[in-house]
Amino acid sequence: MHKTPTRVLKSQLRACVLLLVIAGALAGCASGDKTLDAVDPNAVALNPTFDQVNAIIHNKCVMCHDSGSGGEDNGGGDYLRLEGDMQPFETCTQIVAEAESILERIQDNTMPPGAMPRLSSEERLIIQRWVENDRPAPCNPTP
Amino acid sequence: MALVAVVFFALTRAALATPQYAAQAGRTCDSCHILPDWDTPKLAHQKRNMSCGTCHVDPAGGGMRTASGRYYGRATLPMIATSPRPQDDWDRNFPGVGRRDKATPYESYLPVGPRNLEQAPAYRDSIDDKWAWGTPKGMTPDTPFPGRHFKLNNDPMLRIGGDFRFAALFSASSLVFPMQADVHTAVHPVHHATLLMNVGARGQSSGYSDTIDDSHTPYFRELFAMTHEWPYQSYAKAGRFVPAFGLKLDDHTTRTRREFELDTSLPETRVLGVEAGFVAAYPFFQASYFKMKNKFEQPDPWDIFDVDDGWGTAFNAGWRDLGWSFGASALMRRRPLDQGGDTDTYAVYASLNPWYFWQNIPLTLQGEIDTGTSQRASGLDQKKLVMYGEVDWSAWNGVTLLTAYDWADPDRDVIDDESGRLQIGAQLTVYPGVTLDSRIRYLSVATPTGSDTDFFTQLHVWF
Repeated sequence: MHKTPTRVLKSQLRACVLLLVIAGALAGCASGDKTLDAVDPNAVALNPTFDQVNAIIHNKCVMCHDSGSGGEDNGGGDYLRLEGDMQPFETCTQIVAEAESILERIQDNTMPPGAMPRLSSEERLIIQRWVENDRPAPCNPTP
Repeated sequence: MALVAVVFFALTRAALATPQYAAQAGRTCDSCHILPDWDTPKLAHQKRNMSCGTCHVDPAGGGMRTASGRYYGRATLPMIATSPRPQDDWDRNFPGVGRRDKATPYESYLPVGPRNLEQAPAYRDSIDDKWAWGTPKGMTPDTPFPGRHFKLNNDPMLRIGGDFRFAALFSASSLVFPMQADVHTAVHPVHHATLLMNVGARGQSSGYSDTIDDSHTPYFRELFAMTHEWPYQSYAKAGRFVPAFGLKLDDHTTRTRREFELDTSLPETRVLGVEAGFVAAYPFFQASYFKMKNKFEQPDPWDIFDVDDGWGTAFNAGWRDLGWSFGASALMRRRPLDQGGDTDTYAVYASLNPWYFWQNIPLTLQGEIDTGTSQRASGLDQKKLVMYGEVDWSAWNGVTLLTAYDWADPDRDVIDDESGRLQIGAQLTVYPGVTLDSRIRYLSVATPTGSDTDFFTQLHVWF
């Protein structure tokens, strides 16, 4: 029997509602109640290196926190402009000096800003452990 | 959070979602063809479906467009059409742009196409296509023939296309950056055989100079040989590509793509493999087997055989009707732990276009739910759950208002790592090949102080 458009639409709407119920049920399932450190202590290295930290900072922060930070156009025709109080994180010395501030901002999720993706649990734990280990780095060899 | 997710799935469907266009196009036949009554091909040869391969050369979607996709971009999508507008859209023109006279008979002064292959040669002289040349050998009755898409070359031997995006992001800082620069080339020497090459830049949000200096500017984003246009639109391709999986949204930041190594903007999502399937009217099935570079490295820009030890396979199947679709996907990777470890990902997705059924409801909805596991560095499994939903309102031709919501819990065992992102925006396609997409985005995270808003806009130039 030929289905009328209204019947087809109703059946599809029912399918959508079913999808919504499934989505709601899945999202409603309680997420974990432990930190990654507690769930899986070996999820990241116990003694992260500066290279690991630098890679995260470079990928997630330096697009804004680069050498042009401080209110100047960073030049090179990139048309990238930054707010005046932003610290650059391009060198080892800069990252080591700002390490605790970086950790604080990523742990409360205020950085990266706007709707940009926040750091993953693994990335946060790497930086946390690196800071807790007194920030070992080529520019900070004997912490 | 769950309530918000449900509400937006209830409303939802549309970011730069090209699947959105697919769902919308089905309501009017003349979105894709010069209208009059042609000889309908046998079912096995019909392309009358909403699969990605109807508008894109790659059956998995994205990149170079077919004549149907280009015709849709000229006739249906923009405020100012450069090909005949679908008849049902004649009273939907933006105020002051174009006529609003739906009562005019279609055949009165618009061009008509050939009914069949025998009539096609009469239309050859009317073809005026700047980006397509020649005709492949081996034309058959199921070949797309001249005149069906106004002045476009329906089935060229050589086609050049492109996608360029320039983006700006305004939040605590302001960024203006190149997001995409792709040049597509399709060589189609004989019927059933195509070589598709997509050379692109690795866009960097840190700016133009970083993009130009990147080791993957330029690189082969896609390079594969394909035999296609067999009965029921079956095909097989081999080379570098992104496996068919879920809704291939061109908003590459959606978590349904990013959480599962499917972000189409990244070189590392490219694999080397074979994919075969069919995208018929209306069922579809696609399966692939592939090798890939390890998770922590990008493959060589030009050497598509630069892969490591692991392997993967993906399946994508469902039904894409003219007013709705439903699909399911599965993807698994098997590789050593130090190369990223194993992943298993499953997705269900659907779209609905009430507009197809009732002309006074210009809404389109789509949504996807993904779940899966990956391995942490310790070898333990990390369970993920991601959802995406979108709703579009086509206010006038060339003006789409949208809201989208995506939510992700990247590790179900870890507290406070879930986040949701709401987007509200508009897509303006003033002229064929020029789309301005702007949206306010609100990110909601588990720590209240971290939730924040930004404004993202992009200019997309494509041909």
